[in-house]
Amino acid sequence: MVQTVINEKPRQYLEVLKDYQRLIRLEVEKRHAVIESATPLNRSLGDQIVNTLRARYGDDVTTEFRTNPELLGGLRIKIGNNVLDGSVRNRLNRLQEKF
Amino acid sequence: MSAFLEELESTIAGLQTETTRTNVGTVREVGDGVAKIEGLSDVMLNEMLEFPGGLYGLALNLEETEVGAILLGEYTEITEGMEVRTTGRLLSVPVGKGLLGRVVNALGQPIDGKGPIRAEETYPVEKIAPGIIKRQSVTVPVQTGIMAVDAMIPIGRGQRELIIGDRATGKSTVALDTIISQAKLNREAEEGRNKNHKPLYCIYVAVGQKNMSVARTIDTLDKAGALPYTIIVSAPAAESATNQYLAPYAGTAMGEWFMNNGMDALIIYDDLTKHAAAYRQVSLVLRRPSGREAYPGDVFYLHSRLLERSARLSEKEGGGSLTALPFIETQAGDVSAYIPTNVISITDGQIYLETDLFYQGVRPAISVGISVSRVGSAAQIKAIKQVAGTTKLDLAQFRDLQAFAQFGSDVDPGTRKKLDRGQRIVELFKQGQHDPLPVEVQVVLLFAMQKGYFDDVAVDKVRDCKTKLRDFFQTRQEGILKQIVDKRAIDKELEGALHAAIKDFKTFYRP
Repeated sequence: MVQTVINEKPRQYLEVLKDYQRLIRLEVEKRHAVIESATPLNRSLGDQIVNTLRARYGDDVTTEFRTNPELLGGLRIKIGNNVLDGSVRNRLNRLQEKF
Repeated sequence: MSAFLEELESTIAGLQTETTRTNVGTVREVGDGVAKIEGLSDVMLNEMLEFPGGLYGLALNLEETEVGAILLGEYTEITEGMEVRTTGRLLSVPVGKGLLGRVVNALGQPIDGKGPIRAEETYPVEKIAPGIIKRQSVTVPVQTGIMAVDAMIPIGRGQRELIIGDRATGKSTVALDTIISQAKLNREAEEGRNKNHKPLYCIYVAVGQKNMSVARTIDTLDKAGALPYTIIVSAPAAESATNQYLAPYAGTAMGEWFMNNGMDALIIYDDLTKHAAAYRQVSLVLRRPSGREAYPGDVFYLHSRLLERSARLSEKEGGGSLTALPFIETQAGDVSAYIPTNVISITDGQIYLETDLFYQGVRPAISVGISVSRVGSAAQIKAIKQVAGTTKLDLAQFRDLQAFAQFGSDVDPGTRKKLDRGQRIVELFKQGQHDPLPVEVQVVLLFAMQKGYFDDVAVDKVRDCKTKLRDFFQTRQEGILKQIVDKRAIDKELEGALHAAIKDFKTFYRP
């Protein structure tokens, strides 16, 4: 379809393509998981997490591993727009809020 | 000491901190007090969003791929790519008696430097108005202390009365005089001198005003001793359009607390024209389609949902009330413009203030002919009804004949009488600033006018005579005044006493 648009060149086709690109990006992001940990995870743990996510959210989940020392410990998984935060940093922040 | 430590340890141990699940989005665009956010798939309309740095925003535009949110506070630190969280909460403000005597901003935070506010409860800023079954009709008056209003365009508790006029016609003065008059009555009721008066707390919402005007208002109220019964919600012109848009709703939430707890409150919106302009700015930046005069399509709903929350609740719900006095500023007296006609159709009556009358010296510059109160005499005590019943009619007849008075032509005795009486009534209703008249004094003055005691006083001496008559009754005839307050109606005995007292005054009155 994109090729047809480039060939036909209707009015404002560049804006149409840019908007389409944005929509695709948003769709892809919905299925993308970012797994953050304080220290690099070992292989088996990483695979376990990916399998659980695939079981929960579907097979087309793309994953990315990052390390973030600020977390101090635990995991922070962002899948699409939902964030599951079990990091030590988060627990400390929530303790602070409760007081 | 160790017991304290143990308690602390057990409290910490008892705290649950499990994994949290939040919904987030990313800021794509920020500017003009509005942020466009991608993501936030679980967001709800009007939900509070949390930005990094403790800033909050309100989600107003829910589109297919993004959310438009207005920012509540200093937004210069927000950049593209920041993560935004949903909170699942509605915007709420602190409410309760702890707010009396304080000056707060649109979010309920104190700005008078008198320390934090002790509030037990918070109420949501947006709330659905009470339904039909929960309401009761308006029968108790709000004594504004302004004779023209209390006699001819009476306001009741639970009513919405619009105050409309050009700039500098005395709108704010009407509001301030009402607050001062109520504060006096509240104090009297507290000290036990007036058992018929149920306390009325006032909330003054200043939207888009100059900082200096708000400061002057606070000063006036402070000097008159009215501040302990007043809450001031201030969103002056220097604040963001968001704060100006939210301030009236925040004030209404505070008023609703009084209403829901069986108490009476009065809220003054000064003024709704600037509120509509702030909402227009917010809507246009959110790219909502604009309509007539560039206002968004729901500008009527903006004001109707605000004013519908003022009501008088039935006895089953506690019997509380919230009276609203919205202000509208017209341009060159044009009351058929968009926003004025909207608000006129929402309120239960309007008080017109005209510049012509103001410059002629008639202050308060209330145009009695076109001002109306749809609650009317249902909200007057019997005494005032007895003496003021014919006054409006007399004034209307006077206005019709005023053209003849200008030419000074020979008129028949009937017309002459009407003209003379009318001129004196106009003089009687002139009142100074911040000098509210208690209802019993108003009854005496109107009684004297009705029975013809002012007819032999020269027109330019009527004000002087009125002042002296008032002083006479307040110093020498306190008994009669107290009787009027207690009986709330003029019976034969009281009528006789009034006649005697006024005749007594007239014998030694020298202009």
